[in-house]
Amino acid sequence: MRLLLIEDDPVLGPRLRQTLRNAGYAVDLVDNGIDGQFQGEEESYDAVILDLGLPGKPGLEVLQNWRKLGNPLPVIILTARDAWHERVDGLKAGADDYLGKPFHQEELLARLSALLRRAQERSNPQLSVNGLSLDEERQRVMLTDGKTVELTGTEFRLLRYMMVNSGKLLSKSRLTEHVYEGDADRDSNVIEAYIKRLRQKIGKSLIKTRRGQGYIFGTNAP
Amino acid sequence: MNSLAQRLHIGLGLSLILLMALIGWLIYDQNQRLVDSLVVSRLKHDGESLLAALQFDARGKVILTENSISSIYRQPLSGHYFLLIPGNGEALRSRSLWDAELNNEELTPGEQLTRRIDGPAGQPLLLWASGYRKGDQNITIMVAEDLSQLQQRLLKNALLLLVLTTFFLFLILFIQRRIVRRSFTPLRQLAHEIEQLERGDISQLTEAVPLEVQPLVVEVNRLLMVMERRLDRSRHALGNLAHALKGPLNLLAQLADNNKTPAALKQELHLHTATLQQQVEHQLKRARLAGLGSAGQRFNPAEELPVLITVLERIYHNKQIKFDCHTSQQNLNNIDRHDLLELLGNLLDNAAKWAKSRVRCRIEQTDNIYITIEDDGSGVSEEALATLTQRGHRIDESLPGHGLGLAIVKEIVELYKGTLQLDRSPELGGLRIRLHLLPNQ
Repeated sequence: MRLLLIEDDPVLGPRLRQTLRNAGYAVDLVDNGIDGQFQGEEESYDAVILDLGLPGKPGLEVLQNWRKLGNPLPVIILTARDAWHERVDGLKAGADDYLGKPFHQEELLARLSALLRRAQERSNPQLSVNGLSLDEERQRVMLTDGKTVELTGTEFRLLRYMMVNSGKLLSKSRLTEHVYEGDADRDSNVIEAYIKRLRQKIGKSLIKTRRGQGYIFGTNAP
Repeated sequence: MNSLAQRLHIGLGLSLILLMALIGWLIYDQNQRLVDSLVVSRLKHDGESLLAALQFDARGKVILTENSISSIYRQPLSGHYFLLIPGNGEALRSRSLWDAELNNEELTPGEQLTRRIDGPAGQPLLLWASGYRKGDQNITIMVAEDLSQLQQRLLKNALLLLVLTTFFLFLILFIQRRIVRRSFTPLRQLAHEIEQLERGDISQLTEAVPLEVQPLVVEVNRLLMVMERRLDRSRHALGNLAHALKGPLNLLAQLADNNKTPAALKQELHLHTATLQQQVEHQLKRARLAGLGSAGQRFNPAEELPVLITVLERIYHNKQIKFDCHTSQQNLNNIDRHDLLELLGNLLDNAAKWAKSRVRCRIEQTDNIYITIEDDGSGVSEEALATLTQRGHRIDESLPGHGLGLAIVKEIVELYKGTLQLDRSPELGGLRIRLHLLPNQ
């Protein structure tokens, strides 16, 4: 899962990015509204965390512009402006959730995963496909035989994205986009290497290769 | 009552009465003069005929050649009389005069007079007399005519005039009333708009009004705009202040969360940041309330409530609470949208916090606004309720968990001169909060 974090506070921003990274997200941090809007339009993210008081362009305007262009990106507004009318106006402007500062990290992470679940139209908080279930909190996976396997950060992000999008054909570039941060070295061969390692950990049958097209997760894949 | 319409009616009515009285009197007076001058010229004519007809006999006595005199002077009390007073000898009188007297004054030749006198049988007479010299005698000729018939005609005319002017006076007053009423229509429109303004239906007055009240309307509009901008600005400034304060506070809180921070310091940090946060939040929220008679936006439940509920559902995403909010109101009047959202947000948030699975709210407005919020949580104990309902009791100090939110609620309720009641919900079993706001006072 790749997130766009738009936060201008020089201390809170990087700290929040680290928290989110630790929770297994790839995070791009932008500190102003203009770049934020551009990134949200050009790159593919799974969700956006948006501050409102931004230099360059106010957060609400960024959000309204996205929505005007029909961009359905899931957005959580994270702001100190937490009067009730501001929350209502935030949702009216197109936000999916609204979290007032100060906040607890756990609260943000819980709201974020709830938001992603809603975006994926998934009601069960436990992500499990074909007997394989992912422990998102501890970043490990339970196999069908009950064995638990630890995952590295990238492996976890890759597996989670594939499980969320199980049954869909996922190209290498799409996987790269959603697993790595914007400034990471995007070599599609690296994805191949990670797929290989995942197959070693969870079994070969779950990830199918479509030559020249990409990968499909799940046994009931076409 | 100081009514402009009344003043216009009275002013115009009085000046019309004065004008018509003056015209009436002038017409009457001129008619009278006209009649008099006509009669006098006839009398003069008759007088001159008399002079021509009179002759002297051998002894120098005056005699009249009867047939040269109009027969009307021979008919008793015909209303036409003459009297000749020669310098010597007896006066000659018309037979019509019977034995009544006219004036016995003798005039010198060339002297003339016109006068009203009472004649025989109570006839009002106009008398014309002139002195002449004929032969070697001074002769005074007097001719008189009865005016009573003419005067009756004049009186009749005057009465007719009076009736007509009275009729037209009322007609004009009636028309004027219509005109005044019509020209005051924009003012009634304005009064209606001001009522709408009070309710918050509109935010500005229409400036298409008569020239006389336009400056007033423009000024009111300007003041409204100034007020709205000022409210906006101060709210905005407070929002910025909140933002500026919360950033550092947030960092302090995060520092307290950091594992490297010593436990003792952590606790201290938690305590102080929490107090600071509460204080900042409470004071800021208080300051941002608009209160009664404010020029704010109005609240449309159909538009706002679903969004508010979505906000709450996001906050309590792991609780699956069913929010059942209902109102029959199209619009809530006389209450600021921000204030009402703050009120409902806090109440529903509080209810959702304690609820197991259901929160219910009802909003009604007749003149006053009634809000009921219930939950199916564990509620508040009887003792706590008893303490809470005491006068002057501060909710936030006494009810753990029902903290800041209820304090703001109480603040808003006070701003709208309302009351707040807490008890146990008879249906859901949890806390029931009933508000009664009086935004019209």
